Amino acid sequence: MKILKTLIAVFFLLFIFSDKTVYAMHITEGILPTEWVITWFAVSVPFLAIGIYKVKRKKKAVHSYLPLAGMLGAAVFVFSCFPIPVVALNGMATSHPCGTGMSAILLGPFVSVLVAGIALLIQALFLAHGGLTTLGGNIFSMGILGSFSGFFAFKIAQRCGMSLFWCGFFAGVISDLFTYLGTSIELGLLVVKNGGSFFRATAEIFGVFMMTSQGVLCVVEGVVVGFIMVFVYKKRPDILQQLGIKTNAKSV
Amino acid sequence: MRNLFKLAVNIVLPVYLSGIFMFQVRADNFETVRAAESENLMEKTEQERSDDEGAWTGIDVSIVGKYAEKYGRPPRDPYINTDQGDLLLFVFTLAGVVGGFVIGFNVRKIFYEKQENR
Repeated sequence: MKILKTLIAVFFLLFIFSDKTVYAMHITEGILPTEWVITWFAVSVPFLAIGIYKVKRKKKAVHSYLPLAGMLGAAVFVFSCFPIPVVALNGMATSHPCGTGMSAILLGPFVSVLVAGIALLIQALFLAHGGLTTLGGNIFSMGILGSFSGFFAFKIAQRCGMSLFWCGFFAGVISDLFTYLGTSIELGLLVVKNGGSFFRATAEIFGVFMMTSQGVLCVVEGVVVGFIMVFVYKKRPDILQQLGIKTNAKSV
Repeated sequence: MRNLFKLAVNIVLPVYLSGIFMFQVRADNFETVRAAESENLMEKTEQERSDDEGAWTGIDVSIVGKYAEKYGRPPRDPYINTDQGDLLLFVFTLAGVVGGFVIGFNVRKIFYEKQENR
């Protein structure tokens, strides 16, 4: 408790407020109006609550679940604030992966939402990335949409009989696409108040995302997730079995 | 009359000449300072421009920020703004070190410790 108090004191000494405008990753502070701030928080909270419940249940059922959750939580945090240089239609730019597809496969989608929520909260507090008022919106896009889309993409790919690498690949790609689709939806909803077309605005923003660096990076994220799945299978196939991930040795 | 002439030569003329000299020096200084300032301002503007629009700008900056402004909801300051000088570099490095340590520690624990320890 004493250490915590000291850390908080140091934190407030270090992080003084400034009048400089910051444009950062995800949806930044001030972009969402109050009604949408409340809406996205209301949407996200049940998923976070179920995530906490699932962690408590799964840590008893799966032996290495907590270290796995810690590792993937740190990975999602690092992935989602890691600007990777990509040369695309917009020239030289940086973009960041999400990592929620990978965490959704290994931890389950609800726990992945929780992990993403914690990562986004730390980024909003310490790294001037995202925002505290836009936390709900960012959890919706990166946490909920990213995790569930990646999880279901993995399941569908498995049903299609694809190898573990390609299942991971599709989960990574789809989760990245849906994360940015979520961001596009949240931005697209801003035009409704002014009488603009929501679908047109969302399609425009999503199209711009995909035609620029993010389109290239979602493929890179897919490859990374595919290799990670193969690595986990080769090193600890028992974990995948305990987590209920069906694997066929011939298709790895 | 002669004394008046001596006074003019010995006092007024040196004061007048030194006054002109001092004025020139100060004017030169002003011009130098102004030139330096304008140069700095130009450099700063170019630097700021390169920061905002140059290579390797994050697409979240260029796309999310751009569309939010277009739709009348420009981003504003974060409540805790660490984007000041090298402070952001410090927190990013710290985050990378802590994140890397947590990942490495757990990877070792899960994948590389002996089977009997599990």
